[in-house]
Amino acid sequence: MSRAARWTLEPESLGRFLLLLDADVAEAGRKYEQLRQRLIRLLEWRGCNDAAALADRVINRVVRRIDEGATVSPDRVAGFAVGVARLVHFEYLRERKREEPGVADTERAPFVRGTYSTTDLRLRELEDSLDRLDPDDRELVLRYHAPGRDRIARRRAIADELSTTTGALRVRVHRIRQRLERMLETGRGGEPA
Amino acid sequence: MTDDQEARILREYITGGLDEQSATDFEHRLLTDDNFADSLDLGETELLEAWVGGELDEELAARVADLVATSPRLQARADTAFGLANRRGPEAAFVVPTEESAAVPAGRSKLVLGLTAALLITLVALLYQLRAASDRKALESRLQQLESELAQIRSDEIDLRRELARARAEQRIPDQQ
Repeated sequence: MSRAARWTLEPESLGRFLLLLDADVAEAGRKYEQLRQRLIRLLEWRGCNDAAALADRVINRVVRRIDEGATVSPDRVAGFAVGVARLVHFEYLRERKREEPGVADTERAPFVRGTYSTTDLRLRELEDSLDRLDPDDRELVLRYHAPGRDRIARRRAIADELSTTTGALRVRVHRIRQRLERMLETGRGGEPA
Repeated sequence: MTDDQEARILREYITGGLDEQSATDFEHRLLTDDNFADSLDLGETELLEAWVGGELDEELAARVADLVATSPRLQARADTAFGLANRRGPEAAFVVPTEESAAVPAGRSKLVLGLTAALLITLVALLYQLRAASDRKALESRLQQLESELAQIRSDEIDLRRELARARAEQRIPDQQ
């Protein structure tokens, strides 16, 4: 059995890794979760199934390498994680080819332009979460996303009304959407993104 | 770098359009630069909005479909984009009433509108014809009634003439004609 296969994540190893992220325990925990979420996104954008499990594999391997004596300074942790993520992604592709030899690296699901399906339940959850927003924010996000052809002109008119730029409006609406998505995520029993 | 540039670089990254060094730089910034990561989040939101709205070219749309199919997080975000884009108005309920509803493509909504208009015109014409037919039927009925009354009057006239002739014969009423 190889050394990598024998290695298991121990609390002491994780503690050393957290200390490398930040001396403050709470801040180290926040940075750990942020690193994990961003690794998940990176692996999702690369088209990996179960990106969360792969992100955990990346972090475990970074912790193991540090445990085994690799010298990684605090400001190099992210760069180190990127390198490990690339290796894990490469392994993922190899494993997938082994499991399903006929499947190409970039398998594409059939998709018809302009169509998208969702469930009534998901939409009701969204409606409930919209109702929990501050009324002004709710109105703004709905006006911003209202259907219609004149979307650009409408958004410019909203920005003028609020005496702001369309870029600032875009970011403001994005912040509201992030809150909305956190409500939806916690409402479904998941972790806030 | 503007948000638009970050959205563009995200599109290039997910379609494999970045060279090795640019992709590595992109990944490094994603993990270390909070502003960049936040802008990419916004870029991802707008990409999903464009995807559910059918606004992407085929290659990018197919790639986004791939990613959504493999990621519950992206599926949830696409659901939100779809839900927000498919409300009737700020205070209206969602348009989708069934379990497996799908967005109607822009071309199909025009077709539905055209068919609805044609159906309405046909309905109005049919109602007009029905009403005309109903009026005609009433007139025909009235005509039949009048003809019947006229026949009755003629029959009565004949009876009266016969009675008059008989009376004249019996009482010798002088013929005025």
